[in-house]
Amino acid sequence: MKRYAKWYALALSVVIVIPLLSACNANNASNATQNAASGQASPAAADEKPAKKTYKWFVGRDVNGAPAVTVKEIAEEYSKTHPEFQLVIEGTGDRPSYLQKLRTLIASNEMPDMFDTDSDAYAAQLVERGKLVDTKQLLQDLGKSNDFRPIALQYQQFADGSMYTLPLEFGIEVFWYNMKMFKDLGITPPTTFDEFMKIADTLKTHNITPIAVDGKDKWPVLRYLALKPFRMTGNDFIENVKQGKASFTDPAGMEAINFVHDLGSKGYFQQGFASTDYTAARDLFLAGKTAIYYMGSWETMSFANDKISPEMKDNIGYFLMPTLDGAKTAPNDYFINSGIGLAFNKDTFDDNMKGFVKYLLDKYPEAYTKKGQFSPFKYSLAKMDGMPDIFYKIQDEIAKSGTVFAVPWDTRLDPATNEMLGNELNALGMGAMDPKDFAHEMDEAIKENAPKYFK
Amino acid sequence: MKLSRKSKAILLLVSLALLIIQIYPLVWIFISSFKDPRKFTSNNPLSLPSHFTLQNYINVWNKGNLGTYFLNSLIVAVSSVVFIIVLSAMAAFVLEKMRFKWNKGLLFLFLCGIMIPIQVVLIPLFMIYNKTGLINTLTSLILPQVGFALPISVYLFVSFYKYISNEIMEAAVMDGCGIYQLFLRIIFPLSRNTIVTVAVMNLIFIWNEFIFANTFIHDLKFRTIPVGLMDFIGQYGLTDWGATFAVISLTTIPTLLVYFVFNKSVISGMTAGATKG
Repeated sequence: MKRYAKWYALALSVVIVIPLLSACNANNASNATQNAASGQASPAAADEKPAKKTYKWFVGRDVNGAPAVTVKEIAEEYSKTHPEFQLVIEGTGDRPSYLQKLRTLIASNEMPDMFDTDSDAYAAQLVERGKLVDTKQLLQDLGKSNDFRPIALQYQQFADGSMYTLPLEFGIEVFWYNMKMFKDLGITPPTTFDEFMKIADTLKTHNITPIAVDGKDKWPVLRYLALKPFRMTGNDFIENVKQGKASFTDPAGMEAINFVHDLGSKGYFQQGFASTDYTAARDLFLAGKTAIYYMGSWETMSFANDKISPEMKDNIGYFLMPTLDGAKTAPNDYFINSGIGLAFNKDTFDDNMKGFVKYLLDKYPEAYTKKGQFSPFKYSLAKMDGMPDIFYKIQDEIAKSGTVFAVPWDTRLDPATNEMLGNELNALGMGAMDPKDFAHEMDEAIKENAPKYFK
Repeated sequence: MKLSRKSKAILLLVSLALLIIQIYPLVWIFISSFKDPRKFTSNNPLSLPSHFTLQNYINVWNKGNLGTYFLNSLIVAVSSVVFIIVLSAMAAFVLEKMRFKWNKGLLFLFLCGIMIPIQVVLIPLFMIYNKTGLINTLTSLILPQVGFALPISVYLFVSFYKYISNEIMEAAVMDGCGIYQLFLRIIFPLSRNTIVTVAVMNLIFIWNEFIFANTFIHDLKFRTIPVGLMDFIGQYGLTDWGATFAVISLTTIPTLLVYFVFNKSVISGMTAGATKG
């Protein structure tokens, strides 16, 4: 064997060296980001010229979507006058793969300079370890606290009122409906849940599928479950039930469960809704195959006349979340959110970055709104800016919205229960599950999972 | 075994049914990629395209990065497979045909690798790559691919070498072959089918690998195809299906080609050593 030892060593070293050589070439390109991400930021002193630095925003949204593109444009503009600041953007709109990578980065001590996160339990852990910039303080320092719509900031806050993210989006959620279908059958938009069910029934008897819903992504069906409890108790039901302080067999819980069960088993959702994805559900409504479609105002521009078929022109209206007798929340209180938040890495947050954030907050409202989006800032466009009609209608609606907003259940429940609820909910909607069984199953799941999560 | 006419017919029907079940999804994706992107979800998904359009392919091409993704996938897949074959064929030869003290134990150690889930090594690997500067390079994808493929590849080679009779090796040695010549001139050429099996199996697996590529690569220019597919997924689950199907059609073609060309060798490689004959 000795004779071959040197050959063996040679072969082995070749195998090891080749990849290293190829790594060297590739490395030059990534060095800039490497240094920026290495966390060795030293805040530049005010009197000396700060060195050029590259910051990274790891984006949990569509990289070609309005928020990311707007920030990117503003960053490029800022770099022209401030060559010491460069922003690189990387990310994906696919949430599961985004979170997988984000957690790997953070676990490996490579937290990006900016990244996207909801104010969930994971973010709370980061705050506890002193990893995130206190954005409430930051806004006060920059004198920007009052530029935002109050609800947009409230949505980003943790339960104790602290805030470590900034909103870049804003959306109210409404029921879009096909005006012509309603008119032909002499229906007016519902204001109560009873009317809502009657309308669905009328549509169904005239062979029109009442509602298009995206069952594949789970959250849209979950909204239907959350509607009645929000009217009956505000957000109390979900906040209590998530820790087992309330039960799904309570009136609010059973009302919610029966509502989804009825919608599904009576065929008010489209056939095969559990496997319909986001795009397909929206297009069912846009093709005039269903009468009603519940979705946030981020879709407003998809309903503008220049984007839709001629037969749907000026044919899309909306109504708000219905209400019921003895409702705790006002008709103009409904689901409002400001999207996933933007967080900053405390270790790399220096004056250089702070300067950019200030500039961003100055420029963002106008640039973002001009893209036909509703911004989390108190900023609106006048009629002469030439937006489609439907944009102004929603803009006015936002101005009239209330002060209490419904919280999405999937941002409140523990992950294990959330996962189960998502899967079982479609079974409930398809009539494959009895409402009482569903309620007990949910209570069991919460009893099992909540104590471990809400320590 | 003689088959009657009747059972032949039944066999044929069953095979046809299986074929259709297997092929139909691929055909459907391919057909769907020629549908008008705007009409895509409003029509019956099972319908044929109302008019044939290349719009999806144009859209995909205009996104601009597909060529880069393709090249990266190719580099990663081919270099990984070359390393896998060279290393596992040699290791298996030593483990199976040479007698030394830790023979069995070493093979067992190799096979233990089958039990390690990818997710477990993700963070340690990330940190090691970060320290060594390998992060965000194609090397960071090739190395773990090779490592994870070794156990099963070594196992396939070992089970094949079992059936190469020692007489052949003895004859070769008598004719003056050294150990390296023996391996290169006799053993390696004999194991053609196993090589193809290992190559095809790993090519397909590596071609579709997502987690490593998603985690270790930051730059667009080093992205591989599975991660590149994410470009067509927007927020809230909004997906450009037309473009997605176009990309899938494009990216499955190489896999299919590889499989069609080497199909026969793969089957015989998988069953090599299953029977003595």
